[in-house]
Formats: sequence, C-alpha cells, structure tokens
Amino acid sequence: MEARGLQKTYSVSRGVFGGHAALRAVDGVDFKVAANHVFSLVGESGCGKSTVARLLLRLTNPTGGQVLHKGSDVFALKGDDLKAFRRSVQIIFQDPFASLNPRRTVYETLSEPMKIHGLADKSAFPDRVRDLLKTVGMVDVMDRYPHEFSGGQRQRICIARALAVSPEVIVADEPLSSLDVSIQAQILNLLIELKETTGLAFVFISHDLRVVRYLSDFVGVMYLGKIVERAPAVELFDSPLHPYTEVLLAAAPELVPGRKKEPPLQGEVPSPLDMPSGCPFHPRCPKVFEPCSRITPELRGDAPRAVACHLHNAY
Amino acid sequence: MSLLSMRDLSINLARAPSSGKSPGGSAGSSINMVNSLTLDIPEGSVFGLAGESGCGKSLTALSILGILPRGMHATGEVTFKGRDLLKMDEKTFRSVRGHEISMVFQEPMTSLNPVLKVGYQIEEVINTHLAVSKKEAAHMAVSLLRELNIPSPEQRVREYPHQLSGGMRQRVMMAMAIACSPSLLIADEPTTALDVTIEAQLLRMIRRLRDDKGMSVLLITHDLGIIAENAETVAIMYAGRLVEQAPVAELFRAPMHPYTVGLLGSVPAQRGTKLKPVRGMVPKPWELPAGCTFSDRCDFAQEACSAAEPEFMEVGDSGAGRHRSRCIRTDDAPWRNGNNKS
Repeated sequence: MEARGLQKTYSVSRGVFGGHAALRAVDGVDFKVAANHVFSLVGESGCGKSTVARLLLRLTNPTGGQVLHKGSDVFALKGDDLKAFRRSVQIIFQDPFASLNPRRTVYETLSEPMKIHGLADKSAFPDRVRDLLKTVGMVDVMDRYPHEFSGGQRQRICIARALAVSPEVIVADEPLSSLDVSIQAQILNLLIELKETTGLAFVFISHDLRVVRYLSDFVGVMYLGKIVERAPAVELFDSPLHPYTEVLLAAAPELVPGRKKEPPLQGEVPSPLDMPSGCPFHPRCPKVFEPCSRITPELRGDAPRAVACHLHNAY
Repeated sequence: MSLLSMRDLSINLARAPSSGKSPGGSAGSSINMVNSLTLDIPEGSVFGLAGESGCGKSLTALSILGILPRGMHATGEVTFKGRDLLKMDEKTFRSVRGHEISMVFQEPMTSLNPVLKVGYQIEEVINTHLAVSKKEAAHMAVSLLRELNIPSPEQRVREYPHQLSGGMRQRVMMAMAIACSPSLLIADEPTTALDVTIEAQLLRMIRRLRDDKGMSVLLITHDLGIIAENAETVAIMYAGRLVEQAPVAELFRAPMHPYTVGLLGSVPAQRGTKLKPVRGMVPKPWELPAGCTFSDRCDFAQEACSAAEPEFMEVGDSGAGRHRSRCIRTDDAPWRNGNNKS
C-alpha cells in the first residue's frame, strides 16, 4: 500500500460573516508499507494521523494525491474491484466499546463479513469463527454479546473481525490507548504474533512512542498534516534528525528513575486554520534559524530516510 | 515528619436493599473497595500511587478530600497536620478542602464550569479561602496563570473553558488548585488526556511547585514512566490493597512483588524482547480469590498463597520500613531470574 502526496482539506465556517477557511488536515503525505511490515504514524492530537487512516480505507475522499493498493488507485476502484479492496484492507478502531454492535453476538459479528464476501460455505462458518477466536486467544464465547466483555476482550474481538476476511493490510488507529497497561501489553503481543504468522502489512497509528518503537519497522512523524521525518524505526529512535522528533522522544516518560530531562517544548500546536509561514514547526522549534519562517522545507533524503528540515537539507 | 498519614483506611460500598439482583452477594451487604490502606506522605515530596483502573487509587484520593461518591463509606484514620479528616465536620472540612488540600482531576473539561469565565472560577477559590478584596483576587488569578506559563493571561481570564485547549484547561485547573498555596496537592491522572509535550510541561510544573513551595504531591497515575521521573516514593495498588511500596529507585531496581514485576514487564522497552505482562484481568471487588488477592494471576503462586492474605512486610535493605511488599515469596524472589526487566 502506498500514499502519494495525499491531501485532505476541510472547509470550515468562520462564523456568520467570516466566510470559509481551509483547514489542511493532511498536507502532502507520502509513504509505503509492504507485506510483513509495520509502518507507524506518530504525532500529537490534531496532526492528521487519523485522517490519513480514513483516507487509506477510502472512508473519505482526498482533495489531492493518491492511495495505491497493489499498484491501482484506490479512489478509482468500482464494482468488484472495490469490493475486493474492501476485503483486503481492514481497520481496528481505538474504542472497542463503540465499534461493536451491542445487539449482535460474537458469532454474528464475525460471520457477517464472511457472508458478505462469500468466503466460505455457511456450514463452515462456526468452525471458521472458532478458529478466528482461537487466533486472538479466546474460547467458547460465540454466543455472547459485547457487553459481557472487558475492553481488552472486545479489542480481541475487533481484531478477529478484521481477520475474518483474510485481509492483506490492517490499519490500526490507536488500538491500545483505551486499555490498561497490562492489557495493552497482551494485545501488543498478539499484534506482533499476527505480524509474524500472517505476513500482514500494518499501518499503526499512535501517539505512544514506547509502543511505536517496540512494534514498528518504519515510522513517519507527523506535525500539522505533514510528515516531518520518515525513517526505519531503529534509526529514528537512535538518531532523530528533525527537532520535533527529538523533543517528542525527550518528552516521553521512561522507566528510569531520576533521569535528567531536557526542558520540555514550550507552547502548543498552532491551530491548523492559522498555519505559521515557512516550516510549520518553526514557532516552537528550539533550533530555529533564518530561513525557517520564510521557506517551507520539503521532505527530502535518501529513501527510506527522509526529513523536512532546513538544518539537514541545504537550500 | 509526615504531612498526611493513613491508618487502615477502608472504603466500603453499601448495597441498597433493593439491588439484590446485582453481583456481590446478598442484598444489604457491602462491597469492600479499598482494604486497610496504611501510608505516609512526607512533607515536600512527590508520592506516587500507581495501579490499573479499578484498583482503588482514585477512591483513596477522594476519601482524603471527603468527597466519596454516594453510598461509599470510609473507615480508619486519615491524619492531616494532626487532625483526623474522617472525623472532621463538614463546616471545618470546607476550610481545608481547596485551601490546605486541593486536587487536580483527569478530565479538565468536565471539572470546570462551562458557563463561567475561567478567571471567575479561579477568583472564587481565592475569595472563599483568603481574606483579600475582589480586586486583589482578580490580580492573583492573572499572576497565577502567568506563573503557569499561559500566554497573555489578562486575556485568558476573560475566556470560557471551551475556548481553551486541553493543556490550557489543565493549567487553569492547576491554578485553582494552587491558588491558596495548599500543603498537599492531589493530582489524579493529571496528564492522561494530554499530548506528550504538554504532559512534560505540566509535570515539570508540578516538580517546580514541590521544589519552590515545598508542596507535597500525591501523584496518581497508571504510567510507571511518570512515576519514575517525578516521584520520590511509590506505592503500587492492586484490588484495593497496597501490594508494594518503596523509594522510586529501589522499586525499579529490585521490585519485590510479582504484580509490580508484571507491570514493569508490560511496558514496551527493547525491540525484539517479548513483553511479559500479567495474565488475565483484574478481578471484580466481589470476586477476589481467597488468600492473596493476586494469587489467581500470579506466575509464582504456591498453595500457601491461597491460604491466607500475606502481611505488608518490610523487605530489601533500605530499612525503616521504607520498602514493603505483600508477598510470601520475597525471600527467594523467583521473579529475579530473567524475569526482572527493569
């Protein structure tokens, strides 16, 4: 799967006399994810990472750019091709309480996608559902309803539902953030096991850098709708190039008592309606210098490593 | 000298006679939510209280302020500056709450009044507790916001909560909490709803309040990383009980309770090493196993573990009862062999 120059602009009303303003939620995002790999998008709230997830799934249309799945443009698909795409790309949402139908048993929830895509004979459904549940570490729950389960168990059911149609790509939008730490770790172990056994491609969206470092092969750091740095996970965490990546890494709490911390980044993310000139990060950047407020740096570098910063790309 | 000391604090939820159908045994009985908590918060330090949802850490905080939800009842002793808070009458308590002890909650949007300007809400605290004129109170509100690094505070005091960002709202909450220079600040998951960079700003502010004003802080969180970087002492709660308490460095170096070991093993650290989380789920307060409440999830449980609940005993070599654990296997500490990941 690949995103090429992906853009999404929303039109926002500015009150009765204000007219409309353009909100650039996603502004030129490029990345690729291959089978058996995890590509993670990290960033703070409002950076556009969830919008990217929605675009990848064709849940919303882009204002520019493309999403390619196995070489074909996702937004041009029709009919059977579109149905095949819907089958091969699945999503796991953040809130397992809101994403399961409370009136359906686990069996109904898990067999529905197989029915829609005609994946098996109806008589084979119970066995398949049982297998799916076993894959996610649950037994004997087919006839129960979502309210009977805890958050961690519901998330397992959501994962089983995504797996029901044997997809090739799974987009996971903050799948751990509503869970307790020990349950998070259980689900994380499950995701890693799935990656190793099924050869799925994962797009993992998260704000938790510890989880991202643990799970990812490649990482894209987003700030105000743009990827500011993209690199193999090990390189990104060992030697971040973009100042924003540096401060994000420094701000994340570590299990090291008495660690001397750098003074945290001052200020807050500016409103995407009132985007700073030049580099979007320059008003908060500790390393800001002359060209930053004038020229917007482009994401450049030798693939797979790229950074959008004047410190690293001479102009 | 400790500022606040709890002795055998228990919190029970009384069952209404009519709700016999719900879980938890017979109608009219009560459910134990927090079980004989004993701890001391020293002056001028950050005391971390950690555990997963439902372990009773927030109830403990609410009981200190005397604002437990309806139907819950606290017994034991909570002594603050020589006075027992559990026996204090409501009128006296009102002069303590928000003045000498104050609290910052997790969700600033639901704890601020949406129809009042934030300046007014801060001034209200000041006017209630301090003998100052309205004008002085307004002036104090602005300087509090300035102290908490809010840009153009003169403008901000005239705004409503919905006009502020999440980080800004949490700072307003903080301004209200520290307006009367309390001796104890209770911070219940103060940064859970915030982004990491904003979280780092707020925690730095909490450390500064401790250093500059000698304020004690009870920092409640589920994130052991936050504890490691901000607290001096840490207590781990599980199913309404303290299972381990230690100076922070010691807890991370040599955890002495299998639940602590499991929590540490749940934090993704090194790539390629499999996480070793606690298996299963936290039991409901009315379905606790016999004996040690952790025995049904513990990888090191023996027969004796289900026989009787272990005492909260001193362990390690820091002395003076500073490191305690509620486990009968601390002598051989079987989790040390390759299981200790800190």
